[in-house]
Amino acid sequence: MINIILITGENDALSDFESGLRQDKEIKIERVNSCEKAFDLISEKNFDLAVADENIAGTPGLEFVEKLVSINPLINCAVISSLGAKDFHEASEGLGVLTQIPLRPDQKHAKILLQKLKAVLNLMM
Amino acid sequence: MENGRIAIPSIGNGGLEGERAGHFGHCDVFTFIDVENGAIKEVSTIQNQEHVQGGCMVPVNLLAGHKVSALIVGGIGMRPLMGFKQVGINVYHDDQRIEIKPVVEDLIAGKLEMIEDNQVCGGGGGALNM
Repeated sequence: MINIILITGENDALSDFESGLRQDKEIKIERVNSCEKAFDLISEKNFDLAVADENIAGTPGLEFVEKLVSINPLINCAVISSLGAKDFHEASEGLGVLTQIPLRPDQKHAKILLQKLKAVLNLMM
Repeated sequence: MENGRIAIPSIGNGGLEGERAGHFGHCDVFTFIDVENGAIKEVSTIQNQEHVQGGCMVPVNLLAGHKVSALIVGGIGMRPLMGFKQVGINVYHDDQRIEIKPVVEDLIAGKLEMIEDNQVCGGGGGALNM
């Protein structure tokens, strides 16, 4: 089983993306709407991937990832971001972000994300 | 350093007389230097694994599995640095010399500094300034 935590506000824009993730029977998803709830849950359970929204109740997603990396670097991270590819690369350098996800991701993006995640997890075995 | 295993990201075949790689995630091999009572006891190498985007923890996992106690890098990103710390591997820093032997000798002699959290760089690796 691959455990994913999705950290987002009340964001209906992610419903298609989330549905795409859930189509994979290996995937279990937990969704929280604040950084505090995410850190609480991450301290209790093991997650393979954290997907951070661009803005989480006022906290930039990349800021959340930076804090998460300092606490638990083993969790893979993906970030929803409106930045251009070059700007995102610069903003996320060193954080080891698995991939940038566009603002309105769909099932195709979910499939690509899972491919990338499984490639990394396979190398860790 | 009295005892332990030092890992050096290396280019080509590595080895004590070899050269360091600027980006540890992309290195060809890791050179291992086993130290006993403050002296080099054995030198070996292992192949690096494939590097994929976001795969910063792959080398962390690899080196932890080979019981590495110290790593010397030219630069490193925040996530892998935190990963190495979490698995108990001390990360040392030298961004000036490409040769493996002098930095190993300096680490054994206690002359290399451990990298600080505020010295992390981008791109999951950074480059040697050589």
